[in-house]
Amino acid sequence: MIGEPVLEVRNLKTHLMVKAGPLPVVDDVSFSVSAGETLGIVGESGCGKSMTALSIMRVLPRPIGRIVGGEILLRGEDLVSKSEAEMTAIRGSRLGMILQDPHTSLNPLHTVGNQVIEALRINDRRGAGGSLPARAVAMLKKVNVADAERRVHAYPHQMSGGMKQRVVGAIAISGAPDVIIADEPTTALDVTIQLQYLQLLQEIQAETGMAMIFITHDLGIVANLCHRLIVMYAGRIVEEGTVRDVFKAPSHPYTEALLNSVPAVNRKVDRLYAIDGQPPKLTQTRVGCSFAPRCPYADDTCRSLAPSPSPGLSGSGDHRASCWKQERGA
Amino acid sequence: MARFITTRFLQALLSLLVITLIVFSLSHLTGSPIDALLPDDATQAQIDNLTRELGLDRPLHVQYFTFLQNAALGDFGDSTKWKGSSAAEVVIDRLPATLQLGGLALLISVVVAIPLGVVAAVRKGSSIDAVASVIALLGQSLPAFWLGLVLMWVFAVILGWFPTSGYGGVTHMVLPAIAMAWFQIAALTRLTRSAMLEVLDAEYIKLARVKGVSERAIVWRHAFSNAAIVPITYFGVLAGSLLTGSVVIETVFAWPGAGLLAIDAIRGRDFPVVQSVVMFFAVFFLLANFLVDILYAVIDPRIRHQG
Amino acid sequence: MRKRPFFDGLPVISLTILVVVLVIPALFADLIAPHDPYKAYLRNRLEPPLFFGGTTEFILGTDRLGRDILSRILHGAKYALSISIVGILLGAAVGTALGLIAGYLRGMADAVIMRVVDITFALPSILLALALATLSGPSFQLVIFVVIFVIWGYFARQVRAETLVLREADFVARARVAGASDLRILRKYILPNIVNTIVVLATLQVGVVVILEATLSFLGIGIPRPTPAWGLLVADGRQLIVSSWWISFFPGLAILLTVLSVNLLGDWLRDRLDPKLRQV
Repeated sequence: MIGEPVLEVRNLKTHLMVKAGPLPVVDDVSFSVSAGETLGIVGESGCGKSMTALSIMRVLPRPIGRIVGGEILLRGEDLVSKSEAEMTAIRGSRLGMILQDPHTSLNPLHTVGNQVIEALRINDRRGAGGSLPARAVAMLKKVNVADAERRVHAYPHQMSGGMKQRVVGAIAISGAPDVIIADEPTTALDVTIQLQYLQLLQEIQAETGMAMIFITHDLGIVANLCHRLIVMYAGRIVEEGTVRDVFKAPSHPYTEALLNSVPAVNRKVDRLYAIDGQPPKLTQTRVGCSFAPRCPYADDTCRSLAPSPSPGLSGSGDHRASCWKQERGA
Repeated sequence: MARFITTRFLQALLSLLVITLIVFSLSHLTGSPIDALLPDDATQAQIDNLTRELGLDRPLHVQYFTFLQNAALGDFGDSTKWKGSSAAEVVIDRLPATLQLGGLALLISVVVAIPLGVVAAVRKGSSIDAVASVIALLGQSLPAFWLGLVLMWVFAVILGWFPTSGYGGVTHMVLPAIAMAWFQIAALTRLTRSAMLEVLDAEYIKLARVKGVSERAIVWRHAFSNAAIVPITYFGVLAGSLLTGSVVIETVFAWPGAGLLAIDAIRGRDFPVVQSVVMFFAVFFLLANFLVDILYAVIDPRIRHQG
Repeated sequence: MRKRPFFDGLPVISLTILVVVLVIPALFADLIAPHDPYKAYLRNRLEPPLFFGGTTEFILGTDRLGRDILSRILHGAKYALSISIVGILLGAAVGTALGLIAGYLRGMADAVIMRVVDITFALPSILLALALATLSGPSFQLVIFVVIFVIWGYFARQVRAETLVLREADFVARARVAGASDLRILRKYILPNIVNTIVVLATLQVGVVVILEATLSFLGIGIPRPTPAWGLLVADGRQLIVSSWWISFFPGLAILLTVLSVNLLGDWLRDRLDPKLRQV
């Protein structure tokens, strides 16, 4: 069930302050996600999708990452203006996150039980009953960790990747957050384990009704899991819409190329895509459409003027793309 | 874990064996111990007597095994300078003073270096980081004996805050302990800082952050506990260099420990005493390293679960 | 990685200090020293330095026997420099040879050599020097021996690591196919590629060696008296620190300046020539 918008990102701009100058890794990005909804963010590595997630969590790489503009509204409260202490309280309890590589994201020196307990302890908003260890076991059961009573005492190195990622999932939902951000959570897992994990995420979402942002470069997953998606390129959103609309009528040449390069649903495509060239270096001064150098349809307009999002594609207000050429196929 | 500890213990024993071999070769190959033991005007009869008494007329490997046997029992012969005592007794008498001073120096090193290294890493590029790197550079470049003298001159002679030298209470220990700790502070700060920098970049730190752990708990509970493995492995070396440092610092401050004893023994050509100081220090050093290995296994479950 | 200009100020300053404090005095002490370093001006005993009640005659003051401290420091540079050069050359030669053997032959030779390296690292060097000094008395050779013992392991370890990589390189394989002998491969193909590493390591060791030599001499188990080695000069003033601080202070300052500048230079050289040594 899709409900009210929970998280709204408006004109977010994030820079990495490197020696060569500020790098606009997230450039004027806006989107929202509602309770019970799953939003996919798609793009090649370096397109800004992870930086968008880190901006929302306010855990950008220090000291170089900085939000330089825009708003991030969590149930109407702007996170950009929150103090570090306020954000610490929000993280984990109202915003949860699952990281990419389960093999490195758990602390090797603590038992998984203690890591879940730590999350339960700091994020407890309702004072749920039961002792912390008992609740940790319950959390592990919730994410389908078999033999949870024994596994709480295990260390990360004694578990498989899929199992560890379940623990990370348990930590992420321990505070019953409004929004959960999953940053390529299945990339490091085997294919069969991937499917189980995605199912688990869907079940949890159905049960808790939280909003989910799912970051991936795998369009197969998006097709199965997400309601809407945004496609990012060089720090900007180039297309967004419902999964059905975008898959049926991709309106940006980049989206089109992404879709063409997916051989079959659920096949992971790692080093993308049948598109020549590489994403632009963000240090280069950008004139015109960022995708123009790789775009088969680009003309002088594309190379000199940046396109702005045009709504109303597919006969719906939600499907938009930033491209001068979107009439071409239609 | 049992296998890990057994391996490390055997390695320590092997090192000890090599050290005894070196000490033995030194005493028997680079010059006859007879020369060291007897006055220069000794008669041939005296020399022959002592040669027989010490078993020096027997084959080398037999001598070595005798030496090993005696060493295992803590018997390194009688002191030639401090008549009437065995060399081991003379050394054991002085060990407490060395351990007091070394213990205080160790405490100072850890208390200063660990927080400094952690803060320097957490606030990389800040003024505290700059201070830490200056200390690291100066630590490598200042000779400890000279630093000891300068401290003595400034804080004891000019300011009169501490006694200049000699044995006594804590006030007597402050200056020598600082001089001894100085190099260790530099080394430990540098190690802690680089280990922390590496750990702070780890994914599990990011996860701790996104699950809402406070900054202080991230730094100490999550990052430091992982980074600590590096300075802890260094503690073995630290204990060893504090011991050898004691030779230098005790000489500077006339602190009557085993280090000063060794220097006095050299001046008095008392080889049994020098030899037992060397062996005591070596055993202590290997023991410290062995304990560090165990500690390492206790902290890190990945090592604990090996084999 | 930030690219540094080849001549930023620090290495130039360090090099200048090094030349002024160590190299020039070591080579030309006879010409520039104002006095004979051994001559005792008995009437001028314990004269304080200039600006502390002394005269221009003895700029850094005199010791208990009335010997000129500045002249003694200038002459002392010879010992610091020669011990560093000889000790490091020999230590580097031993370490490089054994490192090449370990890395190139691997197997048993490698295991044995690396185990010995571990053990020498585990043996506190001062203890070795103590034992040696009791038996043979302090001497130049003893200091060199201890220096070799202390530093060869660093060279062996690093050279071995790089040889392990280089022996698998294409150009080595081609030379082997072309029939080059092992010795020729080591000399013509592997050694030239690790020279940078050896140079940087050697520079980084100079500070260690200068301090080691000074410490041994200070303890009376290094260079024998009455040589004006820096460590001995500091030891001369130990008993007199209460009344005549300058006797110990200035020789120690010379050690500090030498080691500090050579360490700065070593760090800079490492960054320029061999960034992978950063961990060392």
